[in-house]
Amino acid sequence: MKDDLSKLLGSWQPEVPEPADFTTTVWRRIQLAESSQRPSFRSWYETVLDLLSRPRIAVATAMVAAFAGAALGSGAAHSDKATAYLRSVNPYAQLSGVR
Amino acid sequence: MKRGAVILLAVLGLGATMGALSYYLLQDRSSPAEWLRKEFSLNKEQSARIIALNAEYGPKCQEMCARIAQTDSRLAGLIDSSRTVTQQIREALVESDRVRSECRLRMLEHFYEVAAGMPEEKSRKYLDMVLPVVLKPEQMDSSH
Repeated sequence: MKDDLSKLLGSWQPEVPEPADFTTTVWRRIQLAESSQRPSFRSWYETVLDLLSRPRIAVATAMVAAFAGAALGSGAAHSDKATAYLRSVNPYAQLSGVR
Repeated sequence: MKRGAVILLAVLGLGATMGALSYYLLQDRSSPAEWLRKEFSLNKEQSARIIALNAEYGPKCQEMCARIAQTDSRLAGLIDSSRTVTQQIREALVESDRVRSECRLRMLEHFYEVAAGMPEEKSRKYLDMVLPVVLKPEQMDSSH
């Protein structure tokens, strides 16, 4: 019985003609479905907030932010003093005070 | 979710506070010459020599600055009151360029003198810092 059914299905040829753009349409639909699943900015933001709710990640992020802030502040302080020295030896830099 | 947003704001605030604090604490309030001594780890002798060079160069630098301003002002006046390139404008332009070139030359001389009083490695670092000023001295003026 089962063998008969398999043979019948194997010999069956669909008579309905396949549309010319069948393959293109299928791929377009697959691409559309995939792109709608890509995470938006909102979902990224929500993921970040969810991660930050975990104590360990929050502490680690706070430490990174503190070190990054300190590094930036120290860099800016150093650069200011170098600029002050260069201004003190450059007559052109002092022009703004004379004009 | 709301908790995450509060933590995010706190983290950003912490970063900004640390930045401002380290800027304030590390800001060197000493004179430029004193800063140079610290920055290039100069010994007493080297430092005294450079302070003397700076003290000698300071008034010259101010004088050069005044001369640039004077020649620029003369040139600006002539250009403004004319509609053709006169002989006076030509001369003023040449004089302005001459004064500027002289200033750059004096600056370069001073930088070489300062560098000569430093150990080789530090002298290279110093020249790397100051030589761009000789190449484009006006960039600094316009950026401040």
